[in-house]
Amino acid sequence: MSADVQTPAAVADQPVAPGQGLWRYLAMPCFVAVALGALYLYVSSQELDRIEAVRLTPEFIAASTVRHLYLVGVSTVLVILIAVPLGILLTRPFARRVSPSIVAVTSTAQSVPSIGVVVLLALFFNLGVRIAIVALVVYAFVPVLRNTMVGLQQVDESVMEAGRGMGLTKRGVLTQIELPLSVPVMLAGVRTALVINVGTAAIATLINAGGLGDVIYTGLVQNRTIVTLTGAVLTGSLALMVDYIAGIAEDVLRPKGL
Amino acid sequence: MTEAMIRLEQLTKRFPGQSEPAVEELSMEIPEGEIVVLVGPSGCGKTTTMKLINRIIEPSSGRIFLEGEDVTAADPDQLRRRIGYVIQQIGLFPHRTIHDNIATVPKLLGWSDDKIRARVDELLETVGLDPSRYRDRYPKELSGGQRQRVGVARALSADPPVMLMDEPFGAIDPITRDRLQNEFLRVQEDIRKTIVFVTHDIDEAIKMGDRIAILGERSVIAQYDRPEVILSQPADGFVEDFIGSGASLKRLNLARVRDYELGDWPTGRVDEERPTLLAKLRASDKGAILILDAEGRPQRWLRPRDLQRPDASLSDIGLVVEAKVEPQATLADALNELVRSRVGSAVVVDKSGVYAGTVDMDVIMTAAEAMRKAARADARASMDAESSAGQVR
Amino acid sequence: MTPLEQLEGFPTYLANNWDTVLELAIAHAIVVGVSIVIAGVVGVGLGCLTYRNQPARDAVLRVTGLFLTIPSLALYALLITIPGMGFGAKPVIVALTMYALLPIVRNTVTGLLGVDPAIVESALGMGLSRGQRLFRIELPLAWPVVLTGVRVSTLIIIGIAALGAILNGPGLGELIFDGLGRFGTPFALPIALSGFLGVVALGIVFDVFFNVVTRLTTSRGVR
Repeated sequence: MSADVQTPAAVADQPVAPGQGLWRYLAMPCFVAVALGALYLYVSSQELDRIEAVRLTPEFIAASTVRHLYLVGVSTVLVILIAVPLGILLTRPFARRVSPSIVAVTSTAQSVPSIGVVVLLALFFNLGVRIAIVALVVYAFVPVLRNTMVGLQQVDESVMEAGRGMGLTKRGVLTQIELPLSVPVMLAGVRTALVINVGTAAIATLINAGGLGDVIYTGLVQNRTIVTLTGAVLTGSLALMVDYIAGIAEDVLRPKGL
Repeated sequence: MTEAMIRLEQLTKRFPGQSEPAVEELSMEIPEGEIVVLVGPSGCGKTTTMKLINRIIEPSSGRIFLEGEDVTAADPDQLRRRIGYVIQQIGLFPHRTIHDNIATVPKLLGWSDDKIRARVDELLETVGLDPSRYRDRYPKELSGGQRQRVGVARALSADPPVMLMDEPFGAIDPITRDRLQNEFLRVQEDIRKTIVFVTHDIDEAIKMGDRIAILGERSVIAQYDRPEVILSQPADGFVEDFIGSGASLKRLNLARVRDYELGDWPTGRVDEERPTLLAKLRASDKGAILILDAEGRPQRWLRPRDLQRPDASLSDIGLVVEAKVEPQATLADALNELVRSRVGSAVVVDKSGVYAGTVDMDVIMTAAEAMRKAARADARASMDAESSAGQVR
Repeated sequence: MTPLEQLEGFPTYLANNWDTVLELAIAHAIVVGVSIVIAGVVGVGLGCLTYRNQPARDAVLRVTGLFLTIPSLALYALLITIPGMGFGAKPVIVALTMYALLPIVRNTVTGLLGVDPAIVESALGMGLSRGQRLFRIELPLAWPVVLTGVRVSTLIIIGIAALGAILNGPGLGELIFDGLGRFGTPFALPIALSGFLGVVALGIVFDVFFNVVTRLTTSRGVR
């Protein structure tokens, strides 16, 4: 996931061609709606056996979706609450020496497997929702921390110097200049964390924490393709929509003038 | 000179890990209401020196006085709110509108919204930007020159007695730079701030400075004096080398157009008859007549053969007046313009664009001659002073 | 047995089973390697074909970005519902290739667009053809950026490959699932941990490998 901020301006800030604007906002919901509609038509056209019927009731699917969103929501909020302040702390002058190496380590950390984090934490502590949330927080922690630090580090020195020269306090420079100017990069990190969390929450089923992974996994284990397919399409759609909404939030929350 | 606005006493700055101090035992006084330019080769510590004054860089030793008050240990944030600060990169806050950028310090000082708004508009007017057009824009929607003006307005926002300017016009194209320099000098005539101005460009120093401090390594003052003195009596070889050749040409940077008697060219108005105009032109020794519009603003140069063309309207023939300078421009600016002009004369116009006279080669030559004489007299006077001082001893 | 006591058994477990772990690590590396080669060829190719054409470039970046958004479990599950795909290495390689595309395409495009236009123009002035310009001038100059993309892709899919064990895909993920399957038994933690640490170690090996490759394949003039 694009936690690496090497995306250069040339690719990242392409101006949207006129007329493309609305399409940009409608394309994804349309795509997801079509996928879900096709899935619905396909499933209702099939003769379901008893096992399939149990797994494909609206109640079971709704409950799985709600649980999935709960896992993602709680863990993302926790990640932000922990990683953003830590990122701010690690970019203050007293930590200037260590912060580049922390950013470097976070890059290598991309290869850590989510399944490994989930399973190890479960084996160490226990199965269940709470440990699943801990695992999600641990796994999504790095992109938010990394983007917070990079976002703060990329703020133009001269803008900060101008602020200090005008007599803003250190705290004033942080809250009025550094944080607003790093919001876009931080939000990109949060968006990445959200998408990662939707994916990791799907694995939470393996440690009895529920979520849409339940649907996929029972389909796999009981060899019911239609159940697997339903779970996969629902999880994929959820991820796309979460990413889509986060993208809109990015656009809305980005300070004007940038 | 009463109490200096800024007094630096034995200021020294050592950066960790460097054997030599960046600034060593610097003492100087900066009088109220003057522009003092710190100029020197790159790496001499002039920027460091300036940043010691508002303690963006904390001095290792020495003391800083502002308006007679020792501020070496004062709260730096409070100190900086009393000192305007303009840097080369400008450092406008990109996420804030022009209004909010300029309002930063007044807000810190707790001014009312109405007062802030009025002040912002006033300042935008001062730096020549239409408030209604620019107030709500963001910095990225402005050109480099406009951003620099906003930077100056922002530094002036809380009406600080002192301004620090670090190569403020350094990153701007030469033509815009000239214009901004002239505008700034005009503003300074009204506001009379005490300004510390850093540049590496001796020509800019001569043009902008009431006093110039030429700094050598470790910010040691090689000479601190009025520009005309520095030009005519460089203290040592270092200063001489730094000024470079063409001191008399540089002296033109010191002279303002308004201080000299302007040349007089025949002028006429667009609504006058051709024979009248031709007669006026013939009566002078010049090759062209300057046509003014109804408000007295210069329009075109007309030569005799232009006037003999009966077919075209007066506002379509001849040469458009391009070489224009304002009275506060330097003679160097005027010389530059007149060389570009095809009639060999730069037209002087006042603030509202009304014709005030011309500068031609004669004006420049007369001025240069006068300055040379004055410089020679100065030098003789100071030599006399030195030798008489020797006799007393 | 408490988890900490289980951890004490980890060195013994590793000493007795290092050959299994190594075997799985090699299988893991092969799956990742095959995927990254395919993704490298396809991704750099797509980048070269579309970088000059903004709509095409945007479309490719959008679609490959979409791949990366789909959770890995969902993508694996989707792939095996495709008739003929089956379980094992095949769906895993397809999924990993899809995941690896975005960073490679993006960095290829970025790298190529980042080449100083004056250099390309002077190549044009010397009469180099379109293909010669691309292969002799632009790609070599963009190479460090392209390689960074490949490296990022590799690190990402090393982790995702571990989940491939859910489809009986080869690799260290097998140990993680094995450990989970033995939940409550003394060897659960050592087994899962060996799989987890194996993946992390593999990530470091690949990271070092790419640093060496970057060094060796980048023109000294642009290093």
